[in-house]
Amino acid sequence: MKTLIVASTAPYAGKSGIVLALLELLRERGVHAGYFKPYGTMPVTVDGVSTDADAAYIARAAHIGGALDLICPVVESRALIETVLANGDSSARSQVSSAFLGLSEEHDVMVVEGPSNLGQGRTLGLNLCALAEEFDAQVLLVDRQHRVDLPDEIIWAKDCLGDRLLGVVFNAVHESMIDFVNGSMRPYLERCSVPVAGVIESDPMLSSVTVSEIVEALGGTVLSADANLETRVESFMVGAMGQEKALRLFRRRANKAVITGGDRSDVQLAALETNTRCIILTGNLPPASLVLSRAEELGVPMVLVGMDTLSAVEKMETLLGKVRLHDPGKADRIREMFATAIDVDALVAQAFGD
Amino acid sequence: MLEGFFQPSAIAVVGVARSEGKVGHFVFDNLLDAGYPGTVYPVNPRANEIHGHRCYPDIASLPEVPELAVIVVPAPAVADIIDECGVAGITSVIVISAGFKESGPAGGALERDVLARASAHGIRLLGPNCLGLIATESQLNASFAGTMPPTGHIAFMSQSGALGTAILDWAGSEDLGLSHFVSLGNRADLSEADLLSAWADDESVKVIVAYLESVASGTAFLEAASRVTRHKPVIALKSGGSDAGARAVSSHTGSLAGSEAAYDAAFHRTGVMRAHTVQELFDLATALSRQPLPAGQGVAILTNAGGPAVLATDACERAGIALASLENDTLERLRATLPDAAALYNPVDILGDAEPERYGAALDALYLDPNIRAVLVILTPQAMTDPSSTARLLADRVSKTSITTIASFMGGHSVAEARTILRDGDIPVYAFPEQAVAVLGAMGSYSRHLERPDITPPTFERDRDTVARLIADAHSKRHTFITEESASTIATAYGISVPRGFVAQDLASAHAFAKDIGYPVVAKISSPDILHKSDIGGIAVGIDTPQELANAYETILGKARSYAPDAVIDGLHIQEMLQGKREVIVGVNRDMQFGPLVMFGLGGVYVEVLKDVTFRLAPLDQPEAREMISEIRGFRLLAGSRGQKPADLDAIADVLVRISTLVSDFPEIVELDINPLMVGDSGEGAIAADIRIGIGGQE
Repeated sequence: MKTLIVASTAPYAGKSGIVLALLELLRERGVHAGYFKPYGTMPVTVDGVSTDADAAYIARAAHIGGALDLICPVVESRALIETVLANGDSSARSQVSSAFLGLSEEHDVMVVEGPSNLGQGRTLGLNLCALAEEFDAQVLLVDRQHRVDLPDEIIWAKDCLGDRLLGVVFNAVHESMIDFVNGSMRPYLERCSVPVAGVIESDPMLSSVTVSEIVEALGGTVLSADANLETRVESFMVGAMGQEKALRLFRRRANKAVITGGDRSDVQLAALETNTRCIILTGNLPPASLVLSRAEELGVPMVLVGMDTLSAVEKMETLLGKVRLHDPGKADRIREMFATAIDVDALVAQAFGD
Repeated sequence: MLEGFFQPSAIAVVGVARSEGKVGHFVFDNLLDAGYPGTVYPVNPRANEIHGHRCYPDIASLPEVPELAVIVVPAPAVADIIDECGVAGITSVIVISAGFKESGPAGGALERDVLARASAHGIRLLGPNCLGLIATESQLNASFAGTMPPTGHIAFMSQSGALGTAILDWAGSEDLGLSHFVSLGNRADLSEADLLSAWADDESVKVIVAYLESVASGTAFLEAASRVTRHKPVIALKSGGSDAGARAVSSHTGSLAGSEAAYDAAFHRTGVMRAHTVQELFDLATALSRQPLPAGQGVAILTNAGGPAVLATDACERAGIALASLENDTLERLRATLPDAAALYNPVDILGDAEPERYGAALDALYLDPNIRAVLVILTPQAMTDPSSTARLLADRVSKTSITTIASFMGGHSVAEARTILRDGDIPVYAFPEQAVAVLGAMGSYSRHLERPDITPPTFERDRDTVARLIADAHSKRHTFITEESASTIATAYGISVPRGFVAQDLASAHAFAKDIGYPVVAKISSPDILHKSDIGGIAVGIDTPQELANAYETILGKARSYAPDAVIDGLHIQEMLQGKREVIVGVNRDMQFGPLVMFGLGGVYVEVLKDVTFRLAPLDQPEAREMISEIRGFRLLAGSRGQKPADLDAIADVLVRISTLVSDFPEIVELDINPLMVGDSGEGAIAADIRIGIGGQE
């Protein structure tokens, strides 16, 4: 039985998406893979069982059998923290060991969603290096390269994992960083015996939200084009300037939502003339009929909300701030990008071959 | 064109209400009252007769096919009536009914349906949501405006029906003759461009005036207006120039008011005169419908009062109107007839006791002067003044000359009759001299437009393929701005000089590039997300040594990182240090209606604080570009002042022409800035030190 831990150097590196992609790709290849997440940090209760939200979603999406309390045996909670701090120890480590043992007996291979950085879970003895030893696993490390920097985390992981470090995947790399990653980072890591398994470029679609998600989050009323609520919004802009400036700035951003007051017909029309996916009208001020007609004609939903512009901006920032994996369209896209950027067969052979 | 609307053989009014006070009833009554000679058929399935006229249940049962149908039924019923019209063979339809896109999405859908059906039948449609139209020569009042204006030669279109009714009413009281009035309504089909074209060919129209809040199609307007103004003057009152006004236009018409600079540039390009008030619109219209254009520069002011003449002179100077210098012969003639106290030099003051004959004699002398192309006659009512007789005498003299003559008879009751006499004699008359001067100014600029040849963009060698490839490449990467390296390549492809430069992604290559270019160099942050490099300390100039370069490398990247942590940094642009003497800027912004709008101004504080810039629509030719350059207030700084050598104006003009060609060739370019363009002395050329090209956000 072979085990692969997918861990990351920092939170929000896209680990869960890659785990899901990998599980699906294994299933396509007829490999009976199990999924295990030793330590969950997004507590949620599913059917009365306390578990991790991402783990529950991945298990369902990847058609993984098994009880959720086995798949993710330890979930961060206030009680857990208090117990550990009071008693200096918990049963976490033994729970993980026995759950893993149970699951691994039922599967050909195991994909383990590991910690979000090298230190996470250390207090419980569930940090990456400890888990790799415990499960006799190899590790695929996911890293994001936001900026030109030294690969401290990766080198540190290599120090403690040694040959268990199967490779690094650079995820969500902006196009402008590709040359740096391939030209400077990759050769250096390879000289340090850290193979680079692949480089996945960033994709604005993954951090997009649908208009209907916006409507729901903002508690809005759709005034026009309600057939187009599933279109995706990648960013938003606030319209408080004059029409000429609005037009110039709006042109620079595609697939956006525009937040403005219902009384700003000029801004609304400027938004409609550019690539805009929805217009959010704040302060419960309905738009002019002529503008509404134009929005309907162009198929752009206008959403009336009661909150002021500042509150709407805050909501939108939260909404667009991170990739929400729980969307089949996005999971498909991640799998597609993963399979393009990484030699999946080679990875499977290295991780799970004899 | 559009004869079916203005001279229809017969008319059907669909939706004539039985009860008075309804719009349909008004329209029918107005058609009858105006004396329209053809047959008017009321159509209403629920009435047998209206005012003794037999009423028909539908279009199909009419005894003949009318050329024009006026529809006044509720909005949801209009589409079916259009079908009836189409089946019967009616080709011109006015939809007066409201309840279309101005009422919301449901109405918008009705309007699209109506337009689709009209197009399918080959019907031209005016409206919906309009007041209708009036053609005075055909005695046609197919509107619900109560007043039929006097017959005249001014054709008036209005995007506001209500402003239209007010002006029709006013025209009646001012005895202002109109040939046509058209209320444009929602402009589902017919728009200002169609009317311009139709009126271009109409002999009864001498002047076209328009009240517009926006244009339906910029290209159609430019095309039609350029053609029409070659034959007859067009005056537009375009509202929505202020921010608040623009907002009001957006709610009123459902379209953007558009950029003021773009409208000014469009009017300049097409020769459309722009009025800024309703008063100015009709001041100018009456002058152009009554008097010939001045055949050149040179205005004489003839007055019986000193003060008003000084006011007029001031106004002339402000408007850039040259007062004529009088020939010696003219002075002799004036001296022979005028009292000794009279002021002979222009303005010619014939004194407060001037009787009509003195006006006549002075005017005779002025008309003979070859330097004079227009005369402004000022009269104030004084003890000895006989305004009416003076007016009669003027009318007689003016009827015998081709020199433009306009009048300002100041005062109230005592000049009222005189004003009527002047109007009847086709002499435009204004209450105040400044109004008259404004009119002369506009007439002068229209004359100059007529003398100006059409723009002929020069053809020059250019590498379009390279530009197309770089734009496609940026599109595929979803870039909003072309990278600086590519922008330089694009400029070079269009023959614009750029400094030598490379983008270094690390310090080692920065050193190598700097060595290759030769110190001193300039280092600039290269990032599509940082548009105002100097604002964040993203530029270092005059770097003389490798150590300075290393320092600049750290400082600039550090500042960029702290100013814009999320910005994508391509590297550091290492550039040749230019030794230019002057900085100017060239900008382009693609206007939604009129396409690329080219801006020119002096760099730095002149553009940012003083807004000393000028605009034209692309494409430009060399003369138009030179005119642009000379228009800015700071022109003398370029032309050479206080012993400085003049700048290379030809090189600036050349860059303007080339950039205007580039943005015309590639509609993908939505904005462009060369800031600065470094300009040497005459003959030394100009180099685009920094060029930024925006292609908008892509899906």
